[in-house]
Amino acid sequence: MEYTSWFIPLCIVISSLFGIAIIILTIMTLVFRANVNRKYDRGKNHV
Amino acid sequence: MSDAILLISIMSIWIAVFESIVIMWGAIRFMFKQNKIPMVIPENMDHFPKVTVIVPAHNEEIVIMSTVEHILKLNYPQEKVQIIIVADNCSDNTASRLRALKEQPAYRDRDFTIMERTGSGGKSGALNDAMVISKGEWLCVYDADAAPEKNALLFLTQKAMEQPEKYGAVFGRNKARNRSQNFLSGCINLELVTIQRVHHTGMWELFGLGTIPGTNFIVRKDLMEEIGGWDPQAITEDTAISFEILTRGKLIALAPQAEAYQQEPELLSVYMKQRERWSKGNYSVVMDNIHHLFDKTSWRIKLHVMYYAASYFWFMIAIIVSDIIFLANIVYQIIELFNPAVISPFQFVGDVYVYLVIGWALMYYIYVLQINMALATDIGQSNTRNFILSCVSYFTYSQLFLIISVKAFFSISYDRITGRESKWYKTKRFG
Repeated sequence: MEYTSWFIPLCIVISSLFGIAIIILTIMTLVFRANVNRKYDRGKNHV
Repeated sequence: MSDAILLISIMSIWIAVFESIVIMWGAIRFMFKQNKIPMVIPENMDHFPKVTVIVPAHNEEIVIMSTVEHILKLNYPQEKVQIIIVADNCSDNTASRLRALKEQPAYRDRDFTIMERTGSGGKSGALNDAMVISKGEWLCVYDADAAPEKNALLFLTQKAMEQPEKYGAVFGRNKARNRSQNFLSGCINLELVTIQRVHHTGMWELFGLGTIPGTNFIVRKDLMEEIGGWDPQAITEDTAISFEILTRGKLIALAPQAEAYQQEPELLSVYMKQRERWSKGNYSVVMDNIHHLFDKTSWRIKLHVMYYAASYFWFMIAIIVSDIIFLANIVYQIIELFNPAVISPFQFVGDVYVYLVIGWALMYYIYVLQINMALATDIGQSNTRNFILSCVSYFTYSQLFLIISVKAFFSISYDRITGRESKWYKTKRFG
C-alpha cells in the first residue's frame, strides 16, 4: 500500500491545524498592535 | 529514497512550525500581561543589593567613553555600584581615555576601577580577573559598546529581588542603536527584536527558561564562584554559563524593562565572522550538553538542549535538504523545457510535494508574523519600512544563516579532529 494513503490525510489535518493556529496568532498580534497604538497614540499628529 | 528524504523534510518543517507557534503563543501571553503592568521606579532603594558592573574592553577606544558614561549615570544608589572597566590587552588609547574620564570632577568620588590587564583568556579571562576584586553581591556585565538605559540596572536587580533564592541570573533586552545605518543593520535589528521579544519572552513565559545574552545581565557572585568563573575555552561564554546556571537548579529570569543599546555590525565581513563564532560556540555548547538528554537532570535542561540542538542541527539540515529538493526541481524543469528526456531525481508520488511547499509557506508566514509581533511591542519600530524588510529578509538575510551554520560546522569539526584551538574573534566597532 502506498504511503500516500495515510500521509496525505495527515498532511491535510496538520496543515489545517497550523493554518487555524496562525490565523488566531495573527488576530492576537493585530489586537495587541492596535492596543499599543491606542495607548501611546503613536505616529499621530495633534492639531 | 527521495520519498523518505521528502517525508523527513516535511515532518521536520512541521516540528519547526509547531515550535514557532508555541513560542509565539507564550510571547503573546506574556506581552498582554506585561502591557497591563505599570512601570514602577522605587523612591527608596536602600534595600537594593550592591552590584559590581564589569565592562571587558579590548581596544575599544571608539566606544568606551560613551559606554562608561551611560553606566556612571545609571539610576542606582552610587554607594551600591562598583564599576570595573577591564582594559584587556589594549594597544590603543582605551585605558588613557578611561583615566581622563575618571579624573573628571563629577566622577572622582565614584567607586570606579580601571584594570589594565595583559593576561590570556579573552572576555572570560577579563571577567574572571574582575570578579576577584569585585565587592558586589551581584555581578553585572556590559559589553564595551553598550548603552544601558537609565533604569536598566534597577530593573535587573528589581527582578532578581522578586525571588533571590530561585534566580541565579537576570537578563534584559538589547537594542540595535545603528539599526537605520544600512540593509544589514536593519535586518540584524529585526532578528534582535524577534529573538528578544518573541523567543526569549515565549521561552520564559511557558517554561521559565532564559539564556544570558552576553551583555546587560546580572548574575549572583557566589554562584559564579561556585561554577568556577567564566570558561576561557568557551567560544560563546554566555551560552556556556547559562547551562552551568541551569544545571545548578537556578533560573535565568527575564527583566523585559531593562533595556540597553548595542552596536551591530555594518559590514557583511564583520557580521559573518561574528556569527560564525556564535554558531561554533553554540555547536560546542550543544555537544558539551547533549548528555543531559539521557541523564537525570531536570526537564527544563533537556528542553533547553533540545531547543539548541533542533535550531542548530535538525532544522538546519532539514532546511538545507528541502532547499536542495526545491532548487533541483526548478533547474530540472528548466532543462526539461529544452530536453524532455531529462527527468528530475526528485520525483514524488501524488501531491506530497505540494505539502512541502505548504509547509514552507506556513514557515514563511509565521516568520514574518513573529517579526511584526515583536516590532509592535517596540515603540517606533512597527512601520512600513520594517514590514517590507521583514518580508524580504527571509530570502536574503536569513539565508546567510545556512551558509554560516555550514561553515561553522566544518570549522568546529576540523578543530575537534585536529585539536586546533578556536580563535576568539572580537567584533569590529564603528565610529
